[in-house]
Order: sequence, then structure tokens, then C-alpha cells
Amino acid sequence: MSRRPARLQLDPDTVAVDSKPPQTGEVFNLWYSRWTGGEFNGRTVAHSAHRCHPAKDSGYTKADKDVKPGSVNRDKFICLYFARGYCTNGRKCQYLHRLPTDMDFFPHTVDCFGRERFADYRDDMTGVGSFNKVNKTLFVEKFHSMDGNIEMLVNKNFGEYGQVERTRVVKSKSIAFVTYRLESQAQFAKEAMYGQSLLKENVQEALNIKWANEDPDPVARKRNREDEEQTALETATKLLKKMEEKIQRVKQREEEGQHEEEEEEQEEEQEEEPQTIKTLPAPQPSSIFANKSLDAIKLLQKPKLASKLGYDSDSD
Amino acid sequence: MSYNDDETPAVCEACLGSNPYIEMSREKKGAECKLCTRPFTVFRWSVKKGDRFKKTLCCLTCARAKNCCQSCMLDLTFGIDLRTRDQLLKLTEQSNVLDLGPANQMSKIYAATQLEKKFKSGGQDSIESVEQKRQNAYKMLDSLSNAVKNKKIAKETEPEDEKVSKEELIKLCKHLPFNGTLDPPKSSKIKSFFLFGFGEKLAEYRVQSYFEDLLGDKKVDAVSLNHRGRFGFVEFSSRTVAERAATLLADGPKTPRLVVIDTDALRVCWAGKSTTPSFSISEAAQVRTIVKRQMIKYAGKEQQGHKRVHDTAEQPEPKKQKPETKPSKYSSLGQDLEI
Repeated sequence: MSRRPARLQLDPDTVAVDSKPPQTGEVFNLWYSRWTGGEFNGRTVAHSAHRCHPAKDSGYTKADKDVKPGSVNRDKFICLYFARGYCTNGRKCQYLHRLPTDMDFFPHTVDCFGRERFADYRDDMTGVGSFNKVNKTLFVEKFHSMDGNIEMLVNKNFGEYGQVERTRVVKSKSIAFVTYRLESQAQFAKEAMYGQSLLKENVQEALNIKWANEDPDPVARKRNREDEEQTALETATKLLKKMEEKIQRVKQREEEGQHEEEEEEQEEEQEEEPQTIKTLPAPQPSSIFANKSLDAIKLLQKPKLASKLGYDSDSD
Repeated sequence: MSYNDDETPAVCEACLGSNPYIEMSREKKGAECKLCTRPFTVFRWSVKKGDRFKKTLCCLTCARAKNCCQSCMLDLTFGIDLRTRDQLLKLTEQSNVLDLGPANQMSKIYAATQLEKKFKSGGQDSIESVEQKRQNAYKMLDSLSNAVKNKKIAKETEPEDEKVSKEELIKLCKHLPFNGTLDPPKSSKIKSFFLFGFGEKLAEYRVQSYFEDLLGDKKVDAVSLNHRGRFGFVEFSSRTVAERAATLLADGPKTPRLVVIDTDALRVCWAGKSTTPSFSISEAAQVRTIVKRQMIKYAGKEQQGHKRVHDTAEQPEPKKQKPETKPSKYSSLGQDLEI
């Protein structure tokens, strides 16, 4: 990542206090900054006045103080307003002003902006999405025209916000599907391209973007299934490798323990020696095995007992 | 551990953090469970002072039924997400269906209530002991390592060829320059290349990064691949850039140049027109047949060409054909999996 400060996308002085998007419904919802009610119940998409240009807008913000370049980011999220192109904080923003990358780890209960996800999609497939499914495909509608090199245009526009794996344009229905490499890239592009147009000067166009349903095409289905199995196997191999490392560590400790038995220094290590070394040691998140979490809370409830018994004891 | 919703959340160690003394707030019926939509007791805590608050997202019943952490919703035993875990269970043939559960809200509530009753009546005995859980985890890991070892990457099966009549062939090929070259075309409007012959899984960003690496510059505007028809186009930002790419690629005979991107072999030449044509699904399938024929034709031609060149000098070089099989990703893993 280049070390330059994030550009200020929108000068706060130019924003009127009561500014609203163009009226597309009858009632204005302050919380979501959207119009509802009326004939179309706020479903009309208005052309967005701002747009995110990652090439010139992205840079470091206050959030990057904790996220060193090259290290895995585990607790900072991307700025939603940056994605929509109107963050008024610039480099003083507490959120990241850049595209999501491989080095970002977003828990699967939230999206890359830190918004909570749900078990199911909304009926109209809009919104934050579901944590039960890895969906990297966006559904795009409300194109103004399907003339010219529309595939190229779609790829060019959506390629700005992440690595596009495939684009499919259905001209007869004026819709398109865009698949990204990472789910976080799809999440970012969904916000960034909402209400935008393929050509800058085409103000009439305002794309509506939703999550795609599963592709019913048998070839695509097979491909998706294989991909899913592949990722599952990759996690499995990672898991197994982790276990192996653990076994080796335990063995090493054992040997060390044999060497230095007389010195009586390895109280902790000897405690941790599993009873059945030949099979496997306890897996990583061992809370359910040890129930340490529960102990911790029990101890919390009896603070005096806690100090007497210490952390490991089983008070009940 | 007793079964009580209100006293303790079931959360994993990663969510609790390293400090054994945490301050938690408890809110009875604080939110609706994300899985069964019933109200449940929400616990909130922060791992480090000043950090974002963590909270429980689903009720204890759901968490227990799925063996997941109430806060991060990852599997408690392995620390992986539930979807992947179910996939792995399916692979190891411990369960054969991906559990979807009831879709309707009322049935979700009903199922969860039934489960809760079952758990409550089971009492202390129905909760697996630590030892049992550990044993189950070992079993699962053993079968998993077997599954990983035995799993072979399925070969890509080619879809059947479509019959193409001559008239259709002429009509389709009018827009697609299967006999194109890397010599710059007359029309200065054209700034894109035509690609054909790649496989089902070639990603568009791979093609883009290939040409960007070739140019050493981010001057590829767009890539559009039609995977059904096995053809596509690359558009450069300007004509001069496209010409530079052509000179970098061009060598030897006046046929579309063979390029290997990410184990996918494909051929590249200048596009015939500045606008890209579009095809219906059946037409794309016919184009695929033509692409296949062309690939075979060029492979044969180049082999002959090589022979002619090398006839006098030395024995003919074996031609670089399509890489036959993708290297198996797990062959290397065989040694370090002896658990």
C-alpha cells in the first residue's frame, strides 16, 4: 500500500444540514437516508451524486495506525461512506479508506464494513446479506441501454473495485451478473456501484445492485460445488497442518522435559502433557473441552473464591 | 455445566480473549436469535478496554444444536465456519446432507423449542463430557486426513460438441477473427485483442494481470470472456498500448499466438472490429465447437512448422501442447499427514 493520506472525498462545508437524496418516495427515513412509501415504495434508485475512485481516493487514515502494511488486519473495517464516495473525514476517518484485500480478515458474522449479517437474505436480495452462504456474485439491473461493448463496460466499471472473475450480461433481460474473487470485494462493489452509471455522463442511468441467487445452469452449479469442496479441503489441510505443528511442539516439549527433569522447571509443560500423545492433542479453540470460559465466568461471580482457587480449579 | 440460558454464554476462547476476568453485561430477552428468531439473553463484553463490544448473536439452544460459539458462530471444536464444517462432514461421510433446517419463521421457532425441551429433559447426562468431545474430534480429524488424501481433483469434462452447419459457421465467424494475426489492423479504432481456446475456469482478472505484467503498466481497460463460447476480448486503454502489447507478443508464424495463462492455453490475435459481438447460449455453444477445431488445427500446423525448421538441424522439438493435467494440489501433502 502506498503511504499517502486518504483524499478528502467531500468537503463537509459544502454539505447542507438538511440535504436529502432526490425524492423517490413519500416519507423520508432519516436513519437510512432513504425515501419510502409512494407508488414504488422507495424502490426507485436515484443516480448517485458521488462515486468512489479507489485509484485517487484511497490512502491511510487513523485506522491504519493499528494496521501495519503487510500484516493481517483483524479488527478494522472499511469506511462505508468511502465506498459510496462521500466520506467527509478523509484521513481523519476512523475506518479504512482502501479496497478490501487478501490481508483483511472479516468475521463472517459481519461484512467488510462491520455491519451485521443475517441468517437469510431479504426477499428482494438487497441489503447486507447472509452469513450462511459465501456469495461472491452480484446481480445488476436497470441498465439504460444494452448497446455497444456492454460486457467491456461492465467489466471496466466493476473491475475498479476488485478482481472480477467473470461477468455475464443477459442482453434480452437487461441484467448482468458479476462474480468477484473475494466475498469482501463483492460487498464493497455492491455499495460502490449502487446508483452509479456505466458512463460518467449518463446521469439518467442508476444501477440497482442485489445479491445473486444461485446460478441454475448445471455447468455453473457443478463449478460452484467443486469450488466449495476445494475451499473446504483447503481449510481441512490447514487444520491438519496446525494439528501436526501442535503435535511436534508437544513432542519437543516432552524431549526437553526428559532432559531437564531434575531442574523442576517445567511445571506448566508437564501439566499440559496430554494423556494420549500418540493420537492427537486437543484442537486449538479448546474452550468446550476445558470449559475455561465457563470457569472464568463462575469465578467472576465469586471473586473471593477466584482469588483463593486460581484460574484452573473446578469450583463446582 | 448446567443448561441455563441466563447464567453463562457458550463462547469460544478466541472471543473471550486472554484475560480470565471479564466484565460482562447481561440483558434478558435483549435481541432475537439470528437462527431461530426467538428472544434470548444477550451478553456483551469487550476483550480490551476501548475495543468494540462483542455480544452473543444466537441463543444457547441453537449454539448447542450446531456446536458453535454464540458470538462468532464458528465451530467450537475446530474454529471453522459452520458451512465449511458441514461440507467436511459430508466429505468424510459422517453426514450426507448439508443441514438447511426449517426456512419458515414459525417452524424455526417450533424446532428450536422442541430442541430446548430435549436438552432440558436430558439434563447433565445429555451434555457430552470433555473426553467424549475430544474422542469425537480425533475421529473426525482422522477421517478428514483420509478424505484429504483420497480426494482427487476431478478432471474437467468437455461438454459435447454441437453440430455446426457451414452457413452458420460463416455467419458466426464473420465477427470472430479465428485466422487473425498480431499484425496491427488497418482500422485505427481497434484497440483490443481476441482470445480463444481457454478453459472453463479462467478468471478475467488473471488475463488482465497477465497483460499488465507484459506491459509493465496498468493500461488494460477491460477483459470480457465468454466461458460458454471459450472466447473473449481484452481492451487496452489506447491504440499505441495495444500495438506495444502486440510487438511484445509477436514471434514467428502469422497465426494467433499461443499464450499460457495460469495453466490455461489460449491463442491471442487482434480483434476484427471495434465492437464486440454478442451471442445467444446456443450460438456460444457452436462457437465453442469452432474454437476447439481451430485449436487442434493450429496445434497440428505448428508441429509441422517446427518439424520443417528443425529437420536439417536436429531432431524435432516436442511442441508445447496444452498442459494435460493440472498438478494435484495435495500430492505433496502425503508425507506430512501421518497422524
